[in-house]
Amino acid sequence: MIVSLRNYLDIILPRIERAELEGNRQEAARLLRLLSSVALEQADKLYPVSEGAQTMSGESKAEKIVAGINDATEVLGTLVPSIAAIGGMVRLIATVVRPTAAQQAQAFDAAIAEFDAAKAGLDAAIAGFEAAKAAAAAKAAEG
Amino acid sequence: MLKRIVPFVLAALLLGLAPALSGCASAGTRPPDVAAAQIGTDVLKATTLLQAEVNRLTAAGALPVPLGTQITDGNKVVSAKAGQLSTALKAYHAATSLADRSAKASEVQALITQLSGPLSSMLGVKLPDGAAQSLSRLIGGVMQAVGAIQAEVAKGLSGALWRPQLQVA
Repeated sequence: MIVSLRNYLDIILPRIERAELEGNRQEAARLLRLLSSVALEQADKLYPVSEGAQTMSGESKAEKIVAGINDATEVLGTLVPSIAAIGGMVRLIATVVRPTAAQQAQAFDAAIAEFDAAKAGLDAAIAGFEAAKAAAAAKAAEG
Repeated sequence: MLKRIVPFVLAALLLGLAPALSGCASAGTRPPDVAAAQIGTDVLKATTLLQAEVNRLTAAGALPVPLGTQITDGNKVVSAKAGQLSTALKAYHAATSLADRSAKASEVQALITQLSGPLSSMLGVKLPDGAAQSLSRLIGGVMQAVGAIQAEVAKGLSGALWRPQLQVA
């Protein structure tokens, strides 16, 4: 899928740029939507609807993304070259779609595991100081 | 604007869209409890760096043992609070209602507030010339990390549910 998407980008990006250079924004927008459908497919693989991923407003993820892409295409595509619209589209998909509850739990567990490991590191450093301090005190007592 | 976007698009082209999406999602839609735990880890790492420098300077004779002990005592408080913070974060994460979530966020906030005492104590240590520069910088690093976690937890205290932000480049 990733290879397929990259191929799409390789093929479609030059065509979008050419369409814009020729002032054919309708064609550029059409190509962007074509690209977005592939990106949407990829997003669905990352955050499957079957696992509960949806937007906060309750719209289906697909509706929200498509609407967002259309907006981005319309707004950004007319202001700056389409490459910016694609950047906007990619960010839009990433920010509209939220991780599933399982993905959130996994991220939290990983964060807590790292937290606990960091605490163990701190405790080891403190223990190192205490050991050195005790050794210095013992040496002073001997002297 | 184009200059800002181009590297992003090139990265997407080079790496494929999936990693780009994953990266954006984790950075832009990070839930507050995950973020608080990650920043809490930063606090502990900053404190560990400080303790390691205290150990080094004390061993080298550049920091008198009583001063090293004073800073270490502060670090012990950070360590003790870290254990409680881990528990509080887990409770915050497990909270199911908005009211419960707010209450648990308050507990996390209270623990962080309790860190201000030992941190102030560290700032009050009169450091010898040879140790002042590196230790001041490291103590500043700990305080900066504590400030960051406080800001993150404040989001939970505000009562606002975490939600992804719609952003257009």
